Amino acid sequence: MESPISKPIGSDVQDLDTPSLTVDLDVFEENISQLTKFFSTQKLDLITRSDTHYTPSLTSLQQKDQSPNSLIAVSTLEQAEVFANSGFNNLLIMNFFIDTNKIKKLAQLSLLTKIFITIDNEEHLEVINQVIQTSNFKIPALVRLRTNNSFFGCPPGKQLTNLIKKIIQTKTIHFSGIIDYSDKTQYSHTTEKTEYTFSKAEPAPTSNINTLTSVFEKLNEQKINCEMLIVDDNYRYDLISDNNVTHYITGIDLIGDKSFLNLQNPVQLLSTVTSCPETNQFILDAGLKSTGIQSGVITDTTNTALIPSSYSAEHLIFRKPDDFSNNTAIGKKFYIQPQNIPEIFNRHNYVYGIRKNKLESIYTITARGKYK
Amino acid sequence: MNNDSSISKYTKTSSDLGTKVEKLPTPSLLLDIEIVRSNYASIAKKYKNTACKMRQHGKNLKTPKLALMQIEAGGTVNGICSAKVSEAEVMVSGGIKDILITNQIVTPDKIKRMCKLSKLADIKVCVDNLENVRLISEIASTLDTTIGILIEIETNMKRAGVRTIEYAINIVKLIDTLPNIQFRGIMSHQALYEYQGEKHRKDTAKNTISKCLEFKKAIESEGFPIEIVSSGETFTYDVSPKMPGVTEVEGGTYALMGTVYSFLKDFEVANKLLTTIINKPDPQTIVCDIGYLSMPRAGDELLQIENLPNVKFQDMYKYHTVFTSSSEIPINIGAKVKLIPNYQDPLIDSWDEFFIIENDILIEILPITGRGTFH
Repeated sequence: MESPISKPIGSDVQDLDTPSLTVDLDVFEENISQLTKFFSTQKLDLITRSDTHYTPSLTSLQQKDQSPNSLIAVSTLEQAEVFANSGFNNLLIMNFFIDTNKIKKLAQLSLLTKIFITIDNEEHLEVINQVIQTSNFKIPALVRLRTNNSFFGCPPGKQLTNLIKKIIQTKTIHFSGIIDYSDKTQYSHTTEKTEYTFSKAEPAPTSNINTLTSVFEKLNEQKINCEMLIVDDNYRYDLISDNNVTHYITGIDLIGDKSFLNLQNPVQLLSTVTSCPETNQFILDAGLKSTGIQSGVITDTTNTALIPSSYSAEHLIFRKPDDFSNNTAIGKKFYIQPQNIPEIFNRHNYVYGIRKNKLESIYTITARGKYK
Repeated sequence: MNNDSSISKYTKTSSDLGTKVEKLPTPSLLLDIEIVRSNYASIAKKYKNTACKMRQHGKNLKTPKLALMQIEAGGTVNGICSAKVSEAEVMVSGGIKDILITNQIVTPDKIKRMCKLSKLADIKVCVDNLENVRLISEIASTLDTTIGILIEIETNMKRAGVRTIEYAINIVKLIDTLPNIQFRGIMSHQALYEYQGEKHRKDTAKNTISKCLEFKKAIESEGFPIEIVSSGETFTYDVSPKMPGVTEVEGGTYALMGTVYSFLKDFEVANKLLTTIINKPDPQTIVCDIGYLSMPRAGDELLQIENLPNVKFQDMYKYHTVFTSSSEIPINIGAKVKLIPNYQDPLIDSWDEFFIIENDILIEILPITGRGTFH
């Protein structure tokens, strides 16, 4: 088990053991507030994405202004189990699974809490139907729609219609609606003198939403009831509310996205300088094990961003330019801005809630490592 | 502190001991214990009659039991390396009595913890800075213990470590004047950034270790005896014992191995990732249920599927990896395959347990008790 040196609530952030994952609660709460305010004027419901942080306590914060039973999106069955154990009773599992043992466990868990699953092909449907055919209830399912050149999702057209009709014919699965799928998982960042931002590499194009709503209209024409039309994080918020979309999945309040509502990044990794072997070089005690493979950047008081010149499992090595203003002496602490929020959360057991540079709370990342 | 007790009734039902590999849940981290024994036997044999011994690195094992297996197999200094204080604590609690911490420990909190640990085991730490030496001495004095000090020497990685012999001698002289610290020797770590054949590998090993030995000679000429010269790693495993003066090697990768060191024929890959094919969008493309969260990206092109050499890595996502082939891939949705990883450290640190297998049967679920000990 990870064993950071524990510090009492109220400790100064500079006294925390490092490397430590932190979330600035003022920034996070402001992001949540902005997001809730924006979507309260829309005609759709938010689904809280919990597989950005795997932390039920953070999900509770994200949901505090939403209806009590609003839907939570998780990635895996094991994550669903953790969130169900934490009291969340309306879950959507985003990943596919076809292992019979997992499907049996899904059936067990569905006795305790409402679980939506996603399906994108008939083989998948048949396996699920065979395994849980003795159950006396129907598991709600969403059909994943392929909206671009993804490896997942059922392409629109006859194949999709046939899949939906087969689902409707089963005794074990209830067709609940459509969810889009397009590849938008890669992060990018820019490092500039005055500002750096994190944004999705390629925002989903308008055509994704158009494909989704077109499918919805065709199903309506065929008298197929599609209760839910879900858009999965596409960062084109302006496109969503004018369509028939019923739900929108987002974890943007944690990640931060300055392109929308000027949300700020609340997540940082605190790290300590452990070596300065050359005058223009310093080494931090955070490495790939605590940052994730995409490491991160640091900034100085003038917001000059530095990316590591090299790294290892336990080190980030920086070359200091002449105009980098911060003191980099051994023992000094730096905040690293992570490049991939889900990955960095998965590497830690705890995230420290910080407010005005004081430790306010310690959240256990209960669902980290739940890959199955 | 994870509240797992009520979860386990769901998650463990398909991983009972005795289960065949193909019935295990996926994704899973497998460890073929026969291969681990074989890798350990190679080290025991190589170092049986040498002055230089293996000091296995624990940073990629994260599991005391696996480190103790090598100590029992032989060829070692009866101790290991740890990357961090928290990792060393896990190893000491698991029964290891001799630890070299291969990084700089600079904050008072961590130094105190290291000092407390030194009352349970022989703890040595690497330094590259005078102020750090003073702080360790001060805190060790307060806590009435003695910490062994090795000076880290930079030889080819351009990260921590002293750059000049003069500065190293200054550190030794300072250690000599301060209480509750003891100069034990020098340490350097090397990297082989690209394999360019056996001659290049061995030359790189000799050149970097020789640089470390120059420091040894200079320090000893000042009248300071050196007990430990810890230099080299897996890629130098057969070179270090032939270099007089080197007392130990910090080998890590050899234990579990990865495709990145496939040129070392004395060792085989023991850790593999079991995954299920969950999608086959066309005959030449398969999608597995494992992604970069549990198999961190590094040199992806080296990632291989066991027994499917013509199927190549295509892309990786959080929970999925895509492989393609120029011809039809002879497996279908639902099939399970083993992936051969290329790089261990962040990989092992992503998992909470090894599924220990022997003859493709699950014989033990071994907790990775040091996972996340990066403090």
